[in-house]
Amino acid sequence: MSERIGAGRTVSGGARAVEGRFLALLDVEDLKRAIDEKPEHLIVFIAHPNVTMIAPIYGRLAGIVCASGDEAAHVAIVARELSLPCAVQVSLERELGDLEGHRVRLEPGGELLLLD
Amino acid sequence: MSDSEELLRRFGEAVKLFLTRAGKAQHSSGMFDLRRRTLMGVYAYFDHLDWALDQLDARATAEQIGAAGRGLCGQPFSAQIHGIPWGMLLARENELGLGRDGGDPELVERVLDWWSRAARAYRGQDSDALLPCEDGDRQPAAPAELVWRTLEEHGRPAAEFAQAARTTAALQLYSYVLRGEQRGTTYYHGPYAGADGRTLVVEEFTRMRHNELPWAADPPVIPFDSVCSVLELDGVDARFDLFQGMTTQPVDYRSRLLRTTLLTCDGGEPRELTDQERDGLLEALAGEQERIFREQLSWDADFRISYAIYHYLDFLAPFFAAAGCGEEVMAQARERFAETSARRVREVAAMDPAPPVWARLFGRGGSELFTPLARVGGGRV
Repeated sequence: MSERIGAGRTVSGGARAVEGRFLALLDVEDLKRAIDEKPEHLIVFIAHPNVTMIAPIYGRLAGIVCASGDEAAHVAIVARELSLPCAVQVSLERELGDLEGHRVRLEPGGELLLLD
Repeated sequence: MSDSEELLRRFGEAVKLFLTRAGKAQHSSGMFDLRRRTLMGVYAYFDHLDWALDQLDARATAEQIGAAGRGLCGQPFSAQIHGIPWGMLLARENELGLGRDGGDPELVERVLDWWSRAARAYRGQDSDALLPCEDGDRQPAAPAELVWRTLEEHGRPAAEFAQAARTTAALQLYSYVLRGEQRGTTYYHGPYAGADGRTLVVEEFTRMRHNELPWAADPPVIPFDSVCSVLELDGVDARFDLFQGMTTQPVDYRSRLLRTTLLTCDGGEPRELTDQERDGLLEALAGEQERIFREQLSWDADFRISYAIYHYLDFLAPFFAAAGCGEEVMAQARERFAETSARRVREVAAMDPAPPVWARLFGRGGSELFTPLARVGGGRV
C-alpha cells in the first residue's frame, strides 16, 4: 500500500524508481546532523537546488527531491553526473515532519510515494 | 541607437534569458549569502575594471585575449568573458537602485566594446553573434576538427569506461564546494558535429590547482589543474547558456553517451589520465572536498558574502595571463579587490531584504534589463 505525497519534474535518472528513507535537509544544522548520524540510502528533500547541501553525504543518497530548480540547476547537473534520480519543483502534499524517516519511493515520472 | 546602447540591450537580453531559464529568482542557500556575495564580486569589477582594462590594453588586444581562450582546457573561457559586463552592469544597476549615479558612462562603453571584441574572437566565427542565445544556444570554443580528432584519438566506449563518469561526477561535486555554490571554472562547450549525426560536447574543469581562492590547499593537493572530457552523444540536442552551462533534450544525456574521454591539458597537449592518476585524483578530491566544506562551515556572516571577491579575482586572472601580465599585476589586483571588500562588505551586508539590483533584475519582465546609458543624467550616468 502506498500513498502519493508529492510530484515534480524528473531531471535525472528518470528510467528507474528508487526507494529510500525520507530526510529533509533544510539548513546547515540538518546537514550536520546527517553527517554525524550517518543514515544510509536516503531520499533527501531540499528546498533549493544547491550542491553544497548534498555533497558531504552524496554517497548515501538514493535520490534527490527539490522544491525548486530546473534541469539547469546545480543539483540537477550533479545528479546526472552521479546517475542519481532527481526530481525538481516538487510540491509535497504532507507536512515534512510526518515524512521524516519513512520509506518513500521516487517514481520515474517524478511522483513521490509514501511506502510505510 | 548607439553601438554601446545596442550592446547593452543585447547583453541584457541574454542575462534575462539566463536568469529566467535557470530559475535564479528562487535561488538561495543555507551555506552562503548568494545574492549579497554576487553583489560583492561584481562591485570588485565595478571598482577596478578601468584599471584592469588598462593593464590588458597595454599588452594585448581584446581580440587576442578572446582568441587565446579557444581550444581544449581553454582560458579565459566565454563565461569569464561575459563575466566582464555582468560585473560592471550588475553593480551599476545596484548603484542606480540605491539612488546613486551608477558610475562613469565612458567606462561602461569601454567595457562593452572590449567585451564584444573578446567575445566575438572567442567564438571564432564569421557571424556577428556574441552570445549563445544569438546563435541557436550554441557555444563553440574550439575548432570542430580538434574536438573530433581528440575523440578519435582518446575516446573510449562509455559502457566500458564507467570510471570517466565517476570522475567527472566527483569533479563536479568538488568544484561546487570549492567555488562556494558556483559553477565557476567548470564549463561546457559545443555542440560540434560528430559522425552519423552524432553530437560532440566538451565538459571542462579548470583552475583546480592554480587559483586565487585562499581556502584551497596551499600547496595544491589536487594533482591536475585541468581535466577535459569529450562526450559523443547519440540523438541529443545540447544547448548552452550565457555562462556555459549545458542543458540537453532528452534531459538525461548520459543514457545516450557513446564514447567519452578523460584528459588533462596540463603540460600542453591533451593526454589521457592513467588509471593510477585517476585513482589519485579521486582520492584527493574526496579529501579536499570534505576539508573545504568543514572550513566553510566556520566562515562568519561577512565572509559568506566577501568570499566572492576571490572568485572574481580568479575569473580575471586568465585575462592577465593571456595578455602576458606579470605577477606584479596580480599582486596589485589582489590588493585592489581586498580594498573593495573591506570598504563595501558592511554596506552590502546591511542591504535588507536584499540588494536592490535583484529586485530590479527579477522584476523587469518585458522591459530592458539594464538601464540605457542615455536614460541616466542626460547621457552621463
